[in-house]
Amino acid sequence: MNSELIPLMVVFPLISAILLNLMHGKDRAVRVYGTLAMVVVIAVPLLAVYGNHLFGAHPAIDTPAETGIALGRINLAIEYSFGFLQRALIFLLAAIATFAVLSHTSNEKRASGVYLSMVMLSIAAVSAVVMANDIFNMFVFLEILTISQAAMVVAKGDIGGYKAALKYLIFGGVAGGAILLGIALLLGTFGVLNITDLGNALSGNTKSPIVLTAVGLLVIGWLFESGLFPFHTIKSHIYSSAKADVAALLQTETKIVLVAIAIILLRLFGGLSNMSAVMVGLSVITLAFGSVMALVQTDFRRLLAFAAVGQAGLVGIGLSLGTPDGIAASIFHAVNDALAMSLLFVTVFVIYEGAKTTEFSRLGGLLTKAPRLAFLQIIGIMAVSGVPPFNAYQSEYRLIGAAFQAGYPELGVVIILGTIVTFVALMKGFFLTFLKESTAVAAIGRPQLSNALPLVTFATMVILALVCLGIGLHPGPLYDRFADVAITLTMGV
Amino acid sequence: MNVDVQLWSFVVAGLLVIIGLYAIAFMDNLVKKIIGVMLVGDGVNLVLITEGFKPGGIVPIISEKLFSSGAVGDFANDAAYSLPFALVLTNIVIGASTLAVLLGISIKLYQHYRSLSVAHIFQEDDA
Repeated sequence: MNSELIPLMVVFPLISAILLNLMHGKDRAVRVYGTLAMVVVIAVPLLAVYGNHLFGAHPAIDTPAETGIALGRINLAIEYSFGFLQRALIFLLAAIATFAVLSHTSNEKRASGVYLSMVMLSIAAVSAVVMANDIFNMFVFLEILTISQAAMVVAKGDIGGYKAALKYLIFGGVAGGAILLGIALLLGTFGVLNITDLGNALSGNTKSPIVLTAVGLLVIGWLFESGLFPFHTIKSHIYSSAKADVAALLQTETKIVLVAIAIILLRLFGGLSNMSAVMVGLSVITLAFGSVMALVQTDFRRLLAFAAVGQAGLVGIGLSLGTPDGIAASIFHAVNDALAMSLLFVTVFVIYEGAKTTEFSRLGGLLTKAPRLAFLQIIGIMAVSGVPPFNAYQSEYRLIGAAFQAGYPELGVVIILGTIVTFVALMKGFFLTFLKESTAVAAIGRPQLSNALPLVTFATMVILALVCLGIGLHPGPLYDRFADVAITLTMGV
Repeated sequence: MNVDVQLWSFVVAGLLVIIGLYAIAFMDNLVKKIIGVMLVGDGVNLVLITEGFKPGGIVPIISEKLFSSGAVGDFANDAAYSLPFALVLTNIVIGASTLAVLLGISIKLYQHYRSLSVAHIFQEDDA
């Protein structure tokens, strides 16, 4: 089925990005259009019919012998595939992006068309990466994503944001070059870019040096886009330099892209045990570095940034196992962690707005001033750390089970240790912010942190907390569908 | 002769990537680092162009006549491989966008620090 709504998930945010850019300076128009556009962005993935969309409607053809392509049939069109996984990931992205947009339009005196334009651009880019069944299309939108993410960080306007964006773009340039070189090698060898066709061409052909080089280059790109080791510090720098609502969106986009690229790598090179081992190793290192670095931070935003990076390692571990249980648990954890981490970033956003700092040395004793905020933050901490009955408990439990089933009980132990360290780090942040009596507490009044909380921010926190609890109590409807996706995927591998 | 052209083209592409990576890793000047990023992209573009190059090939513009005359097979034999060229075109646009943002950020950093030295700009982060 050539569903017409599928390309709209990319095309509409792209057009909106252009329009919002043109509207910059017209405050009312930006607010109204930005809000309405988010309604469409949320609605389209819910309304779109599952299927494939062929751009230009070019069908697959029998390969002319003269092309030298060793496949009976090839796809000529750029193809987008849309199923339950894509719907879930794009809806999650749209929901968190809606918060970022509403937070901006409700909290800022003048809404920035350029900023909202970058948010739209990043939505389009992530949606395309999730749906693209074409490896070059994936590359193009990853590059667009890198630029839009850097621009969102810059939007904060302080010099730290510019420095973080600069580092991100320079490393992004190298990682983008690596991905494109990998694509060039595959194109030169097999003559196709469609991922299904490439997967068919690669079956039994994965041992040649050119293919192995391509694998290495594409894995470098995956590591950068996912913020995994050795790029974890760059990603955490980006998170901590952005405004907290933007950081929530950035870490959600990163987790979605991590899953999307890993699935493409598994579809193409799933038979390569060496690739799986390297991916597991780097994911474990990311989990270890992220969790431990979170523990030693003296600023709440940086602590969260490293914790988010550590959790990305956790997602990477399950995907790298390549088993149906591991893939399903990882996708489930990516969704759960994106939700719970977003809740935590929003709570820290509130602290920053009230106290104008998130340094622990200048915080303390906020429990009596902001009990509701403390309550919501502790929910977020429990959700991220896998404490029952919240959502990440369900996914981490399944991740550990998948590691044991795959014959790597030591990975299960690593996951448990990483989770404990993350929990301790986050509790340290909570203690230093809310419980510790500080003599140098910033003057934070009750109105800013309790009753006078912006409605959008408070509603977002409550909704996120309820969703975390809801998924934790009823994981079946979501997890079972991810399990079906994982089984289909591994059958293809 | 033609193999030599392709071989040398790949060698030059490799050199561009290596010089670009060297500039990114070891040069202190921010603009030189940005030039390094662009050189890496240019090296990869050259790899793609070389892939599409066909010795003695014809321009890959397809027409209805080719189908009606049944000469599609000959065309596929003789034409240069056009897909990599399309990729290069897209990558040039992406590279230009990245360059614009990088230079914009550099201007802001220069206005703040009055220097393009990366060591100077990131001094306080390393401390």
